[in-house]
Amino acid sequence: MFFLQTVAPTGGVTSNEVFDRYPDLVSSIGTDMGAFLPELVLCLGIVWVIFVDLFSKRQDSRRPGWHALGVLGLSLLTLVLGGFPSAEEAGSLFHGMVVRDGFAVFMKLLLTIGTAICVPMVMSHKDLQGRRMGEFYGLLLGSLLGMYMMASARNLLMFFMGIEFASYTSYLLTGYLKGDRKAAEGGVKYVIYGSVASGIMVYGLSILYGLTGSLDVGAVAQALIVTKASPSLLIITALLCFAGFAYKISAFPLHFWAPDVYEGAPMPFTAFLSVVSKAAGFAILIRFVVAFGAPGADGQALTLASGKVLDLDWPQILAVLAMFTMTIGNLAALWQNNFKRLLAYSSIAHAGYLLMGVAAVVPRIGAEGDPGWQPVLFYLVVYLFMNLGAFYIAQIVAARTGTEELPGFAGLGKRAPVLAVGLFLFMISLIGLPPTGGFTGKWQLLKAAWENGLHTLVLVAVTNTVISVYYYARIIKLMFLDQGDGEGYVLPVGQRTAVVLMVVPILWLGLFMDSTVHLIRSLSFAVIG
Amino acid sequence: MLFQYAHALIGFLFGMVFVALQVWVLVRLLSPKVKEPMKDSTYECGEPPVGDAWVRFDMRFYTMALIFLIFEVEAVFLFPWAAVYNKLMAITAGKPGAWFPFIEVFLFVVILAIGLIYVWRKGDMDWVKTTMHGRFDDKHVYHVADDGNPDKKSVA
Amino acid sequence: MQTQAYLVVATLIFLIGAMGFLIRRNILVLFMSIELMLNGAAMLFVTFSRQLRQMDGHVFVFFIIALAAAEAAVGLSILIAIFRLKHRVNVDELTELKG
Repeated sequence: MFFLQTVAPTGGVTSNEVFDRYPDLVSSIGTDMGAFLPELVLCLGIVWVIFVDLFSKRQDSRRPGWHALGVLGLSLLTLVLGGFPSAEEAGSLFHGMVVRDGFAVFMKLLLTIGTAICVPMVMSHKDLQGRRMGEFYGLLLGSLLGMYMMASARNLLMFFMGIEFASYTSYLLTGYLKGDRKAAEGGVKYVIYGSVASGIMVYGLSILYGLTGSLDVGAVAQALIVTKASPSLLIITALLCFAGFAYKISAFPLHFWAPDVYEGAPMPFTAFLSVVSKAAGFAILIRFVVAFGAPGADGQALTLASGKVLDLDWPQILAVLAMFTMTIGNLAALWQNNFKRLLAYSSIAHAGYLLMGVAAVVPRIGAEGDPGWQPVLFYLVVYLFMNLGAFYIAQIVAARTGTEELPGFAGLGKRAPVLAVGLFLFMISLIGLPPTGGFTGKWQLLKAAWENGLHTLVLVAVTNTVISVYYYARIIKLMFLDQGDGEGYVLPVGQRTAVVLMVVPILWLGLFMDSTVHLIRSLSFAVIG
Repeated sequence: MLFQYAHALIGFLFGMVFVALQVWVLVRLLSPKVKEPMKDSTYECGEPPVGDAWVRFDMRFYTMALIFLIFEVEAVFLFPWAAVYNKLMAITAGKPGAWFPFIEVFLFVVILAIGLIYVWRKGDMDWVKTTMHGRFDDKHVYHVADDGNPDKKSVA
Repeated sequence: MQTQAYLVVATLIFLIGAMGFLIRRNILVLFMSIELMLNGAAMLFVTFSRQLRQMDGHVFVFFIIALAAAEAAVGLSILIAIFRLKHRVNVDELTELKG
């Protein structure tokens, strides 16, 4: 067989070593638990939210939602109190299973805020009323826990566990409305495609383990520098591993599940999938890329950037994937009539723009100074607010009109001006026009890609932006120029406040981006691999 | 070099011929031919079968089986622990972190127990379970639920 | 030599699973195929772990087994939901969502 002579034992643990290291291992767990507090809060919160609902006499579909918000708040609090570790303070917990660095804390904050925005959406969703909802919130928090793991994993086992944990809960939430044909079908499709993607990934991970003799990502990367395995085998392994990440961020070869699942899932969870789940996917992708781009033992070899691994030009490969992802997303979005489906394709396109940002950073990983993750992270923040905002408004409109199809938006400008103006701003932001955060975010991504020599990719991205104007503007035209039936209505104060709260960050990030850029840059993004 | 294995090949071919001879030829020649309905029926531990084997199984078996599957597989984590338990306790005895091997797995079992409580409370352990529209009682009498709420029973 | 035999078998199991996933249309059989793929990966882990005289791979396999069971439970429960609605378990008949 072709892959077998090259196994080089490096970092693994033999059974006798386990016994020798055991007292040391036990004593460190106590101290590590302190840094693991946000996760522990979530763990207990999951059980709490489910049991609060299960053991209450009165059925109230909103109450577990308040409890879930409380758990998220507590987790957020522990995250903030824990602070951002500087490059010196960053380190690994539980003997290298997870890392704690600025990047992990930032991503966890982002994921928690995204989930916290989704929870009120769930509480106000029409189809999710009048039933016991403790399980829904429990699963949502469980998904978030898996994503915490994805953001801070350092061991191949934790990569796998994090992705699977986030995925299984997502399958169930997609098919949560059991009596609904679309929901059940979306759930089945998600579970089949998702499982096969993770099956492929774990096979790739197993070959990676065999080639390098370690599950620790850093040790794997170091071992790959000196490996004598055949390049074709390494390429196959890399592709197999990439399948898991690509499916999580719905990037080009594995994007096909997204539209069906997004359309079938309940609207708040579609929002969660398109934003939070994708952010977690990028977190784990960035972690993987950074680990493999870290300087080698001799301090010289940059594995990914210098093409040491596989002798392939990785930035170019990522760039090509980004091109395909954004083009396919945007072209398919042109003919969509269902709002959720349209935003599904739009989210595929945005995954392409974000991949462009990753491709731009790859050559600089491991070099001196800041590699420049800031544009990607900034765009993730913007994307969080603009996409969740668009979904929130769409949910209110769908509840009023009873349809999620685009014609339901006709004449919204006359019926509910606040909603229409809000959605207008989110659409502008999704296109990437000033004065919104979408513009500044995309501008930074394009700039980073251009400066790193990905000129073709930048041209493709700009062309794609022009294509995307067509379908976003179609919604704007429907809202303001077309006549719709249905009467005007006054929004409840709560909904109006929520819309304003979502619009403000978008405008803030568009008009005064410098402060946020500085903040993100200062949060010590020495991602450790 | 391959000829070393020639005797294995001959043996293999001989075996194939021998089996084929038995299955297709000798059986035809030697076996008694008695036709009776009992011979064509399904073998069920020597007892005469009752009814058709191709019946629809109750959905409740699946729920039970799923619950069993989950809890059973979790036991896989207990086996390696049991194998090293004594040794680990000996290592940690008298040091900070004594009893850690015990506490660790105790917590694991507690978490499983929480899952069990959940399933129990939900009514999935009851053979007579509330359905979407009502439920059968012990005497197989069907009661329609007041509002079709599947969680009715777990509330009461 | 012996290791290679295990690797060949593991790869074959994985490939059988992958082929099954591509050509079969019954959702239950698809789940079985996915299970085969996971088992192929698990077998590779055990083989490598044994060859390297390490424990890491063995630990990974335990988690693969547990996660495969969880996946089967999740998948089957969703499958039961769709069977109640459509009385079919064929992927080609999942045509509600299109476009």
